[in-house]
Amino acid sequence: MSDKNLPVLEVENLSIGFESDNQLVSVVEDISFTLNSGETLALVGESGCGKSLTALAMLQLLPAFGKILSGSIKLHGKELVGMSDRSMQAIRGNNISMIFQEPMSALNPVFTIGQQVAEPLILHKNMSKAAAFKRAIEMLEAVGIPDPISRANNYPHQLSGGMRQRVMIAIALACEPDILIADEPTTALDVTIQAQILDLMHDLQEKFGTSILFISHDFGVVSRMADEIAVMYAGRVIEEGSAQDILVEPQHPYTTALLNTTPRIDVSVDRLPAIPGRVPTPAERPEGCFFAPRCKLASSLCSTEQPLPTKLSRSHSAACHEVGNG
Amino acid sequence: MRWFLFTRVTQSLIVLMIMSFVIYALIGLMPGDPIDLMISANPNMTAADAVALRELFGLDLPIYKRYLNWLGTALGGDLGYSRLFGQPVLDVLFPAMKNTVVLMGTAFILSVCIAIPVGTFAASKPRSPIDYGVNLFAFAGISIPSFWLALMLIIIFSVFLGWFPAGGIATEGAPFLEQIKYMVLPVATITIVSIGGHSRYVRSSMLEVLRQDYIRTARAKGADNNRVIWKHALRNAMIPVVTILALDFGFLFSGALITETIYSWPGMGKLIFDSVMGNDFNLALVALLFATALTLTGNLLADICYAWLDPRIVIGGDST
Repeated sequence: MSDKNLPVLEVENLSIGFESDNQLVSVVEDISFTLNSGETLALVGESGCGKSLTALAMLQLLPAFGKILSGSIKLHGKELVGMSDRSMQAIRGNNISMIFQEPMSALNPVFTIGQQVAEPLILHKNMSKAAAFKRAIEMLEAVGIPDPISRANNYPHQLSGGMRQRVMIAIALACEPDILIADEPTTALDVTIQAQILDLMHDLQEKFGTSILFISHDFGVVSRMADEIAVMYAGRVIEEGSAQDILVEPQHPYTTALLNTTPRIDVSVDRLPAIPGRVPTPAERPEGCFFAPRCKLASSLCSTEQPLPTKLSRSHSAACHEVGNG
Repeated sequence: MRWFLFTRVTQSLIVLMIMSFVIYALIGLMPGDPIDLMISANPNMTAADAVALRELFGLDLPIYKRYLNWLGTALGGDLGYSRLFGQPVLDVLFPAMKNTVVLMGTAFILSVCIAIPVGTFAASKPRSPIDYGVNLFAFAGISIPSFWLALMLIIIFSVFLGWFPAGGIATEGAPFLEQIKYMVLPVATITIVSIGGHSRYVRSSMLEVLRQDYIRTARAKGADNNRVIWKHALRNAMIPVVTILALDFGFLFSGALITETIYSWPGMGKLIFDSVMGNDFNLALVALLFATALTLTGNLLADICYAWLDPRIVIGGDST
């Protein structure tokens, strides 16, 4: 693509909160990242760190009690925060699409595969039902579903999990969106199917020039997909850089610890290390660095003062008091 | 499909057979028999006459023998004679059934047609004033006894306002509008009482469906709220509601006894009540059996509805 490396999606200082008992608890705090055209940006972190919430915020599909508190989300320079629901509907499935973790429940059980793939085309491209259905069959073929013509008339329960995730991808890419948000798309699948789905996403990204925001907790999967990686912890981005930066030279102790928990084929260990403790809930977040209670390197400074992102190179930055000091 | 229908109809017939004995036995257990009524109606009858008559009618036989006798003639197409009305049972039964179907069917269709949009609308805006309003109305409908509502409607609309007759049914062949006039109050009573339950079922089923992942998928595709609710959610939400409606379907034909009695509506409910009170064995038995048969038919229709709504259910598949 000619406009490779131009920013498609720019997120600045985004904070997301939940309202409970008239109290506003902020869950995602002040995160920023940029997704460039044709690239894959991975958001990585443990469960409960706000990855999925961030993903849903891009489409303004937060759960009823969730709310964007501040910050900006720009699609091709156009602000999405505060946009009317009607305008967002024109963007969802058309400019930004999303696939989810659970392919088993993400498809409507009472409509055929073909109808469901055709729907975004009818909604956004003004296609007739017949034309959209025909295009849907082409999309099913593009995502590697064998015998797409008869599959189009099948219902979701007649397909395996891997096939359903392919259908989800076909739905998401039907309108050739600029951005595909993939929220743990392979977590619910068998390992062999995982690899197939990742390869498929890779191929389709090249074919359609789609930028991918890839959400995962699994560095193994991320290393296959990502150009850029942002590591999230307890609602903040704590380290950000190119895939090379993060995977080879991680600087933040959390990133290092998380990488150590990923099994490697070239290193044999008896026991995989685990990070002690768990991600604090929004209400339990300590002062200072959120990771300090679980961090081996934590000093007294860490529990009083919140570290700010420090630039380490043109692409790489980390938010840790220890980074750059030693 | 054909196999499914065949097995289901066979099952229904077996159930009907068993029910016919149960009902027969229950009626046989009732105190008094037709001869007792004859004695009280005719002071000249002696005890010896009564014994002779019991023997003549076969009432002295043990109950299973009486049942088999009845079954034999019933299967031969003779359902007997109603002593109470002095007519063959079916001649009494069919007009009553027609009246009940008209009354209950209208009320049922009205209730469903109102409850589905109302329940859906309430679910689409949970905790809004509309939702609270619908809930209030629904609970009122569930809580108000139908006899009280019927009496209130009569007091307001026939006594004070004089808009509708207080009861009865239009004579055969009366103009359509005249017939409608007699129907309004009983239909309103049954509809108001059943709408509450129906709309609550629709609402809770809808709320459940709106939490599903595929609803989020529909929104992520760019579908607007109306499309999400009426196209993606409604059909899924209707699947459990059909069960409830099928159960109500049985009441349709047995009639609403209280409502029919208050409005003097000559339907099944009133007929069954009268025949039981009048020791009219033949009529009570056949009327109750018809009600059973139609309840079974309702369940069969519900099963066909499931398959139509939910592609995961395949009728006549290789499973049982």
